Amino acid sequence: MKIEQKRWTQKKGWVPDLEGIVDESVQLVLLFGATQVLKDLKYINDVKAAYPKAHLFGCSTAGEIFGTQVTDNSLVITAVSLESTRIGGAQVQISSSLDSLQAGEGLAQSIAKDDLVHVIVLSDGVNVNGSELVKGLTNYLPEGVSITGGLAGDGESFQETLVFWDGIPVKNTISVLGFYGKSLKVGYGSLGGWDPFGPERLITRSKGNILYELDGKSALELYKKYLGEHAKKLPASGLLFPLSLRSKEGETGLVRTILSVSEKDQSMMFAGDVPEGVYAQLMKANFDRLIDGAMGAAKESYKTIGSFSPELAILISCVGRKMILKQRTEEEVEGVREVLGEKTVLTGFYSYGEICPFTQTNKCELHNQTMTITVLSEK
Amino acid sequence: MHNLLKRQLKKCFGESFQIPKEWQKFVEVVNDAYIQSDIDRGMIERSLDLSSKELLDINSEMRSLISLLNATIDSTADGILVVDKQGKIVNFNQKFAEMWHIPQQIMESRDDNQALSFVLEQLKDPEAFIKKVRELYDSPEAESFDELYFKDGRVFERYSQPQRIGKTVVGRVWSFRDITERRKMEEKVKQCVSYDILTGLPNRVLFLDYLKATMARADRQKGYKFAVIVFNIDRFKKIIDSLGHFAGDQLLIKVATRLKKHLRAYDTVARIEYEAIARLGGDEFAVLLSDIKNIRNVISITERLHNTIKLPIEISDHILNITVSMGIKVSNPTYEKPEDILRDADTAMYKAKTLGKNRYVIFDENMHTQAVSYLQLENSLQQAIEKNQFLLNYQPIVLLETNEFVGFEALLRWKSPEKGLISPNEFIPLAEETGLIIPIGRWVLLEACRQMRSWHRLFSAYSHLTINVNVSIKQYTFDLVKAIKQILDETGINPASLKLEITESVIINNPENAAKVFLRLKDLNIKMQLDDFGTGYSSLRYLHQFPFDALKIDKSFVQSMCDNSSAMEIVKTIVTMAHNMKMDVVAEGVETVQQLEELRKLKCDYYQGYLFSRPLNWQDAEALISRIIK
Repeated sequence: MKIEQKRWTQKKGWVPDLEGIVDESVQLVLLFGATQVLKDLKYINDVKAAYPKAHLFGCSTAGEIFGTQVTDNSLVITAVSLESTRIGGAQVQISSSLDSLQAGEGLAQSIAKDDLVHVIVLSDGVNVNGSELVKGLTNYLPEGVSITGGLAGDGESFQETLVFWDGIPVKNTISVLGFYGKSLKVGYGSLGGWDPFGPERLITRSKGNILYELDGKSALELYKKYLGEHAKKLPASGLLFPLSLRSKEGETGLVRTILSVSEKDQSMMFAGDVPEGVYAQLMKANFDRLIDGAMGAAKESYKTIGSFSPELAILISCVGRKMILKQRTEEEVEGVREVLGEKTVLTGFYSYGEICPFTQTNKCELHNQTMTITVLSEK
Repeated sequence: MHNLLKRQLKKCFGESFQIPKEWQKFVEVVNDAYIQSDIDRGMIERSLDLSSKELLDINSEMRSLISLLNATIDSTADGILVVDKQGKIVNFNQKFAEMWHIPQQIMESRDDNQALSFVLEQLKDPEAFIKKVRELYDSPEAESFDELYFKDGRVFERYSQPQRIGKTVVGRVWSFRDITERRKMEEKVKQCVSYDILTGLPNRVLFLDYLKATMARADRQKGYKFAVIVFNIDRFKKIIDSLGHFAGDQLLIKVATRLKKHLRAYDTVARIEYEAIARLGGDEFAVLLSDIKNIRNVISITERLHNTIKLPIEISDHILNITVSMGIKVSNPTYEKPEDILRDADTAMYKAKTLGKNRYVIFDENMHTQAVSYLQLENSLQQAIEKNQFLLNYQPIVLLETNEFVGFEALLRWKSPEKGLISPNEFIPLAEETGLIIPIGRWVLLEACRQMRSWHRLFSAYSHLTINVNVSIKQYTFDLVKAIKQILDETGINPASLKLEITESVIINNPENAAKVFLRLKDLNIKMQLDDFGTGYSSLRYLHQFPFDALKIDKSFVQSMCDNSSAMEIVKTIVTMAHNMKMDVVAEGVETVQQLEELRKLKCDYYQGYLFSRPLNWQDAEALISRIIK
């Protein structure tokens, strides 16, 4: 596997320079960029020109990861030449007639299954129910094929997220990238590092991923009370207090984060299901715990691959973490570097949701507020 | 700039310090970090405050919930105890301590072992209780319910169910309800349903239950036999009629008491266990003997029972000498229902009655067959009245001296479409027993009078012809007088043409009453004849009190008088005696000329029998009259 990384910023343009490069050996380019940058197709065209034979796979973000640096309003590309691994992909657009579950099922059905070892999914981040998408995908993918990925971001504005496979970045889209062949080693890990606090509250009214009431009272009101003056920055500020869900005693809580709020029907939309009858507890962050969480995810992925430095690591971390960590955001990426070593190329983005199997159950789930790492190696 | 950063810069670099240009960016970043840290801390503090307040609110809500719950628990009539998973007392209500008489200090010490020992001391079966407690301790999810019986007679209902928080079992709630009173009420109700209120003995329902259980035992155990004795008091109705219902009740109570006293759980003389005594209803009692070895055992116990009951009983200042009729049925494996055994014992008892009461009869299979055909007969007899299946035959009565026929005896016949002609001997006893004799008897009277009246009209020269009608003992009441008056009116027959035949038993049964009815009939100008004389009591005493017009000598004497000198003597005596008392004598069943000649010698007045004519149907009887006229 040969990898090279470049980043475009307003200030400096492409660094290292992309002009004049024509590399036909590259089969895959991963692109993570701000919505506005992606919309200006010029930069994508630059990439296409430089790697004419490559498939393009990427999405809009709430922050791009380039090595141990985290930037906004940039475009980070990672060009990969694979030795023996093959790739394939598919894309689907959700609509009023195609819901998240059906979209997941459709994608899983359309992708070739022979020799398939791993699937990375990138999805629209504001109009897709991630839990349903994951359910749809796992319904039709062969057992043993792992899935990781995330929901695209749009900075802290939660407006428009773009996803693409080859074509041009578009809204309401879900794309999958499949890796084929036995020589590829894949590892993954996902950890949060948030702590629940305060009383447990019963979800008394919800529908799918829309939450109305906790303990019979308006959930939105509760959030506003806790956010105080930050309430006016909803839904983004809602990320400061994700919800931990547990339906059984002693169960590991699933973390759910807000995607949008509706003042009209006093509801909050979460990135995944918030079922009635389940207990929810507010969570808060602690810098050290967040960074420990990222390092924990890295260790997990490292362990599954066989404890050697992987060639490529795709980091998908939640925008909520970035909002808390602010200046210290890069510390979590540095933590990952510390675990994986200097040789591993790090790329990735800040997302509206992460997709990764649970370490205990191996069941793929939508996560929120985690650092989710997928490591790949052909060695 | 953040206050802290500003102060730090002044402290380190002096009041007049100006930030160098190349430091500007760095200071800005540090400043941002200070501000962000403050904001973050502010938010954490805010959320800490809010959640503390929320938790306090929840806490106070919980407190009021707990106080409400405690008030509720204390106000229930059930004793409630809550223990944790280790069995330690977590909560209880006052009622619990009261119900179990557990001292307050023990309950307050929450020492479950001490409390348990208090509990166990009071129970009839402490081992079972402790076993249950252990069982439930091992299965914390289980719910259970049972009843606890106390040494002092109390009964508690016990419920036990796990206490859960969410889905986790954290302990167990025990609740106890004192149902002693309810149980007593239930017993009372049960008593009413299964026991006879008057005597306190089991009733028919319960007796059948016992019988059923005993039958089941006989099925299981080879060679196991049992017997049922059923008896009732002879002439019980008469006792009630003369002494009243209260006395009747007293008598039943005394009989029941004697039974209970006499029969013990094990009869050491007969070596028989008795399972049950019962009052089946009315004056009928039953005894169930179990595990009998042979019929001799049963007879021995029956006889002693009989003798005990027969001892004089004092009721309302009267000394009563009662007798009982008893029926015995010994078990056999063919019975399927307890009712059938009881039925057969009953049949045997009725047999004892018909055999003259004051005795016992052991059931045999024929009785059942008889009983069944008897029942069928009763049904058809009932229908016979409705369907006009009766008819009369007429046997001429002849004046011996002139051989001139003077009248008829009306004889009842039943022409059944299924069985043909049935003789009165076969159905009259049943008709008497069932009371059907009243309508039948009335029909006979009416028909006989109507027929004779019609002949009187037809053969006016023979209007002296008389008609004899037999009257049953059951018919012989004041109602008979009324009925005859009506029939006389209805038919217009001359009362002097009607002769009623009654037997001695009518008089013996109740002489006082019989005499009154007799006089009333005589007042109507009706002739009275004493039938079947010689066969029954033949009591001359009564003959003086009852001025009969004639005595009828039973055919058994007439038919044997020629071969048997003592029979001849009897006939002779009867004739002489009757004539002395100014009564005519009618000989029945005269079949030979020899008999007739002897009777003539004895100066018998009238005769009837095959020698002159067999009983005739009305057409032949009419033909006979018309022939004589010619």
